[in-house]
Amino acid sequence: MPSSLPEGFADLEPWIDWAQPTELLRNHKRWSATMAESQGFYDIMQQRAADALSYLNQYPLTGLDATQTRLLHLCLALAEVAVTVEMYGEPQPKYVFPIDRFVPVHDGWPLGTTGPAMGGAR
Amino acid sequence: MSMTQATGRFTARYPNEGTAPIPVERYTSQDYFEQEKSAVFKRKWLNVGHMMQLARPGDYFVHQLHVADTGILVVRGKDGLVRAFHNMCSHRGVPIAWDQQGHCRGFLTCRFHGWVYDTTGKLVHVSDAENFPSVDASQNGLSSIHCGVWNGFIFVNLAPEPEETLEEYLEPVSDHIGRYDFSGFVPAFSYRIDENVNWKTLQEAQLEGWHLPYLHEKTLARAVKVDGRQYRHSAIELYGLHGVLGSPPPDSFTPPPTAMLASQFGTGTVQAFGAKADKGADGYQFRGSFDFWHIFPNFFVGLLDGLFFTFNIWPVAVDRSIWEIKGYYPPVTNAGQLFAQEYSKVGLRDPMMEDCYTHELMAAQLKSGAKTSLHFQDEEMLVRHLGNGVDLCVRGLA
Repeated sequence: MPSSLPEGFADLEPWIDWAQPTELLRNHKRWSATMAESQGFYDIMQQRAADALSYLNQYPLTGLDATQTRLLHLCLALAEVAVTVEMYGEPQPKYVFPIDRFVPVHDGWPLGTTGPAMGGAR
Repeated sequence: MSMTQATGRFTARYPNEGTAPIPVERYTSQDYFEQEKSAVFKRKWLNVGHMMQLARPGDYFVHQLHVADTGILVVRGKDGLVRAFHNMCSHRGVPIAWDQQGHCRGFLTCRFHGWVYDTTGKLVHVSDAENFPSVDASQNGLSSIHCGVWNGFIFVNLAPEPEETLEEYLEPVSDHIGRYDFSGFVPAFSYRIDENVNWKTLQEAQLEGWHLPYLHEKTLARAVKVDGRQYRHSAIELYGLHGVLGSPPPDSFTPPPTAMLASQFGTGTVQAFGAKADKGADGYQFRGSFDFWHIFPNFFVGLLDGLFFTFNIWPVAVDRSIWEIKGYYPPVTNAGQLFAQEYSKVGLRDPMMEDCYTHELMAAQLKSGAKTSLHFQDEEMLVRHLGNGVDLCVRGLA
């Protein structure tokens, strides 16, 4: 069976649900995970993120294939889960505004470009 | 750096700002809000965007100014100049541009009946002109709005004749902020939050850092850690209606593992809040680990090493405001840099989500009328300064 991640990163396959393409979805994943899941994903990414980013840095950001893009999204999810583990110590802190109302407008911007695409209707 | 338990520093330096309690009515009264609209927002220069949104001649964007019941069209002409207009066809009032941003080839055509305007706002084509014998095209261009550009930031002024030029308006701060090297940055993130809160309440949490060790105990507090002392800004300076906050460097800062990882791959939190390189005599002089400039009435520019960010806070109603947050970084070219940027962005975002949560609780409770006044201390001088500035405008004194 073909792996959904680049060769050498099959150990991250159990965490593939964290590979979400937008900040909104990554934040939803962070908030819906249990503390045990969050800690597990955080721990393996602490071990593997440097390797993953060094590997991805060999390729132009705008030319990543589907498996590489998933690996990138796993790395970006570390930025979210790090808040759970390093800051709050819980996945659902009580006194925080929801991201559904703190709208990441940039989620619609093309990856690795210089800001918003022109001409889009909103 | 010597950080003493200084008290009353800013009150002594700026005695005109006073020390009296602030009336709650300024945040809840519909009458006061109406006065703010006319005395502040329809008179002062307002930042509505950045030249990065108008890279090429023919590029345009639309900005809704609820506070003046209008949408404005900002367009870069063939001559390279930026102009602003009410986004409204002279025929029957339909907006000329329907997309929030776009590009035209020198002309904008009304989608309703095809009247055409050039990028200077001139009406150049009236469809079925013979059936409009009373319409003089030369008198029916787009309604223009005063517009200016400073360091790439685009401002408008809704007054028929502004009392000051943009340069005069920004003169108290332009020589300070202008030393920052704004070149080489691109838009990296943008958030939009629609909140049930008065526009001044929304801004006030950004006008003092004293709440960081309390409200942001789990998040930002570690970047301003003050061991066993009261929080003290490294600077608060007032410049006319504008001002700046300098954030104090932490007594001690142990970056968490993910921050260290990010710093291996790109510019992130560690660098941004770290010791500042000497920018030379003509370079920008940081007052703190980061400097937060407030441009009256509703614009903020946060300067850090390697990134800057802006806030625009737009009143919609006395109890509703829109917070636009935009961050600018050097262009990202690889995955490692993108990760570092993501980590830095999330680290700024989550404390602001804590701010928003607080804003709405406060705004709802202020309506009770149970308290008639609020209190600001010396470290909240810039909060007081905003309210004082608005009140001076409302009373016709600024």
